[in-house]
Amino acid sequence: MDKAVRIGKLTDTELELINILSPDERKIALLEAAKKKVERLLMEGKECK
Amino acid sequence: MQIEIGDVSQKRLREINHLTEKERRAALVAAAKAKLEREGKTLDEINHDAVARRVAGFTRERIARVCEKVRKGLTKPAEKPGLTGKTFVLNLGYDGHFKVLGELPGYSDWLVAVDTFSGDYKFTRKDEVDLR
Repeated sequence: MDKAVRIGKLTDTELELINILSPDERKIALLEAAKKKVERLLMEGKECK
Repeated sequence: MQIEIGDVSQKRLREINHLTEKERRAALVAAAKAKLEREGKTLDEINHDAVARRVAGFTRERIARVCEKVRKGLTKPAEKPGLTGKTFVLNLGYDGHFKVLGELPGYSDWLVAVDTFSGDYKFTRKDEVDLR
């Protein structure tokens, strides 16, 4: 099932930019960023639930 | 606001939930900029392609509805005044005559027009027409 995520308030430029991405491209971008963040937190010795 | 990210498992969704909204925005904007760079296009060019694809997929009835709204002034006025009422022939070999009703709402380089012979409505790029 298709999902949506909250991204807070966007400027017009941000919205225009994000609109050029397909849902799949958005998903990949978010997953990659999440993976990097989790790796960074683990490196810093912080727990990641 | 929310954005669609297609079909995604609960596991993946939990991963995304590690990001704050600000981090999500930053990741998406960076991905969009990377896409522009990969394709060697400006944001305007990408948007033009997207409009072209969307307009190409419009049914005849939908085109007519948008054009009627423009004709009746139910949408915002053309951003570049002076076009409405002009006639043009397409630069693509077709010799029909069109009368410009206005601009496609939200896309100032697209025109909505009516064929003065057949009564058909049409969307077209400004750079594809010879305005008279």
